[in-house]
Amino acid sequence: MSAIPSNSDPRLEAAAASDDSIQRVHAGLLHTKPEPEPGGYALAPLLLLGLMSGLILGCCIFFVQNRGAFDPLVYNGHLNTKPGEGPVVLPPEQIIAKGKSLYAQTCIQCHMADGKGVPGKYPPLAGSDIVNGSEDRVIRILLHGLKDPITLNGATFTTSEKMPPFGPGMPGGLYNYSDAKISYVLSYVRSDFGNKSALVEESKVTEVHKQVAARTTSWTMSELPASP
Amino acid sequence: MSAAPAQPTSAESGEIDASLKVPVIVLLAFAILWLLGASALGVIAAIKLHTPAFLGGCEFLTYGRVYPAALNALAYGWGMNAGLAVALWLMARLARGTLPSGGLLIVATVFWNIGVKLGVLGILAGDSNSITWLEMPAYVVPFLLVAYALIAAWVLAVLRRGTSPYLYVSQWYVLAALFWFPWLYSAAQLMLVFRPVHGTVQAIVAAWYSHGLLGLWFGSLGLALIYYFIPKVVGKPIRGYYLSSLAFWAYAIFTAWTGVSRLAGAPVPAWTQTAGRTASFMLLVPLGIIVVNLFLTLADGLGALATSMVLRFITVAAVVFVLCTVRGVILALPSWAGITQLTWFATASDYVLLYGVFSMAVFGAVYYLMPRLVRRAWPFAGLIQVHFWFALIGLVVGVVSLSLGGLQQGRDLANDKIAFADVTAHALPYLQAATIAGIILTLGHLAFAFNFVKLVICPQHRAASAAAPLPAALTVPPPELQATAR
Repeated sequence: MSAIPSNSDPRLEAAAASDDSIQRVHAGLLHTKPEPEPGGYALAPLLLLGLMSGLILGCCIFFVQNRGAFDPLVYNGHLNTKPGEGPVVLPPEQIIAKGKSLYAQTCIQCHMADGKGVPGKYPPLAGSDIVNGSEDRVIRILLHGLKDPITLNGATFTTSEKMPPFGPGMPGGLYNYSDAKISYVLSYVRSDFGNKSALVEESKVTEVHKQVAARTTSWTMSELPASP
Repeated sequence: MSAAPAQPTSAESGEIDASLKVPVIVLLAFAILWLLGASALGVIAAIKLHTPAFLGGCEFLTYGRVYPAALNALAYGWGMNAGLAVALWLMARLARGTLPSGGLLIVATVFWNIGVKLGVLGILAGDSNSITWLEMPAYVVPFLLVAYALIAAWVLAVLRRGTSPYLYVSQWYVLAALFWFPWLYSAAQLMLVFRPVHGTVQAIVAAWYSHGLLGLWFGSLGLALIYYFIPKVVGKPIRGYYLSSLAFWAYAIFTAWTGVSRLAGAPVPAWTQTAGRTASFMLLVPLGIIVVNLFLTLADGLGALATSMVLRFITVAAVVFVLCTVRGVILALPSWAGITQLTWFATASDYVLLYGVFSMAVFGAVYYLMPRLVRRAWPFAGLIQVHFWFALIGLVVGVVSLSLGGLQQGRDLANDKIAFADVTAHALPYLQAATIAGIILTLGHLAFAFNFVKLVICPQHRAASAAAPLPAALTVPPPELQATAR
C-alpha cells in the first residue's frame, strides 16, 4: 500500500481519499462478502450470527418474563401470571378502576350512573341490602341473573326485562364475564355510591361458581340464600 | 429543472464547496454563537447547583429557567444549526450536487434562529412548558417547524440534483435523520402541548421524544460523520462494509423503542418498559457491527491519529458512541435503573450522546470543511489543539463526576437512614467538579469560536493567505481509495 499522504498541517487537514473513490469502492463492497481462505472459514459472520441469535433468544425470554400480562394497568413486570401461580393480583384501586369501567359499559344502563336505579323498575345499588349483604348471594345473582319480581329494602321492582346473567356460557347471557371481571365489578359497586363493603376476591367468585355450575336458569328471590 | 446547469463530476473539484460557502458559514456562525450562549447559561446553571446565592437576585436566571434555557440553546441552537450545516455539506459532497441558490436557505436559517431565540428568551421569561427537551413555549413551535422544513428541503434538493450513482452509508443516516426529526418533534408537540394525551401516556411520549432526539437525530448525524471521515482520513475502506446496512436498520428500529426504558418504575404499563429495555439490549447488534466497521478500519491506519486533528475528534466521537450505547444497555437492567433513575447519572447519559458523539464529530468535520469552503488555512494550529484537549478533558471530567455523583446520590436516596439534606450535601463535590468541567469546555469553545472568526473575517489573515500560493491540500485532489481484497 502507498504511504498515507502527509497530513502535517492541522490547519488544512489533507484527506487520504477522494469522496468519489470512497463511494465507488464502498458501492462495490456493499454486496461483497469477504471470501474465506481456501480450506478455512470466516469467523466474523459466524460470531455475529451467534451474537444476534443469542441476543434475540435472551431478549424474548426477558420480554416474556417481564411482560406484565400486556395489561395497561400492570405497572410492575413481575406481577405476571405464571403457570401454577394463579391469577394476576391487582392492588385494590386498580380492581375498583377496572370494575368502574365495566360498570360504565353495561350496568349503568339500568342502575344509572349514580347507582340509584329507577324507582319501581330497576332496583338501586346505593345502600342496597343485596349489594352490601352476603357475597355468596350477590355473586350468584351476577352469574345467573335474577327474575322479577324483586324486593329490596322493602320496595318491589317489576320490569319486562330481568337482571341478565353475566357468567360465562349462561343461556341467554351475552356477557361471558370471567370470574375476575365479576369480582371487579362487584368490588366496584360495593365501594361506590356510598357503599362501604369489602371487595370481592376473585377466588370467592370461583368458589361460588363451582357450587352453582350445574344451574342453567336465572334465580328468583325465593331461591336465593337468606339475607346475610 | 430542465435548465439545471451541469453538475460537477468530482466532489473534490471545488464547485460544490463554492456553492455551499455562504449558507454553511451562516449556519455554523449561528451554531457557534449558540454554543457560546449555551456554555455561559450552562455554567451559570452548574454554579447555582452548589452555590444557590450566585446571581440569586435575578428572576430571569433562577435555576428552573436557566437550566432548560441552556439545554434548549445547546440542542436547538448549536445542535440543529451545526447538524444541518454538516448534513448539507456532506449530502452535497456525496451526492455530487451543487446548491442552486443560497438566498432562501439563508432566510430560513435566520428564521430558525429567530425562533430559537424567542424560545430561549421565552424560557428565561418564565413561559417554559416544563417538558424536558421541549421547554420552548408553544408559540415558537410552528415557526421552528416551518424554518426546519425550509432548511432541510435544500439538503434533499442537493441530493436530487446530484449526479452520483451511489449512496454511501453516511447519506443513509443523514437522509433518515432529516425525516426523523420533524416526525419526532411534530408528534411530540402535538401529543404533549397542542392536544395533550391523557395521564401517564404523556410520560411515555416525552421519553420517546428525548431518546429519539438524542439517538435518531444527534446520534445518526454523528454516525454519518464518523462513517465519512474514518475512510476519508485513514485512506482505507470500511471493514465489513456489507454489514453496515444491517446496522443501520437495526439502529433505526431499536433506537425508536428504547425511550420508555428511562421510565423504569414509573406508573406506565410494565410491558412498555420491558419493550424499551429489550430494545436497549438489542442495540448491541448494530453496536457490534459499528465496532467492526469503525475500529477495524481505524486499526488499519492508526498512524493518522498522530497527525490528524480531525481524526482525533472523530475517534473520540466513535469511542464515546460505543461507551454510551453500552451504558444504555447497563442502565436498562432493572437493578441498575433502580439506582440511577432520577439522579445525575441519567442527566450525564443525555449529555454524553449530545456532546461526546454529535458535537465532537461536528468539531472534527468543521475543522476539515472550513478550509475548503473559504480556501484558506485555519489561522491558529495551536487553538485547534487547545480546543481538542479542553473538549476531551471537559467531557471526561464532566461525565465521570456526574456519573459518580449520580451513583452516590442513587445509593443515598435508596438508604432510608440518610436524611435528604445529607444526600444533597454528599453530591456537592461532584457538582463542583462538573462546574469545573463546564468551564473547561467553555474555554475550548472560545478557542474554537476565535479561530472561526479569524478564519472567516480577519482581513490580515485573508490578505496573507491570498498573497501565498494556495496550499496543495486545497488544490490537489486526494488520492483514490484503494479497494483491498478482504
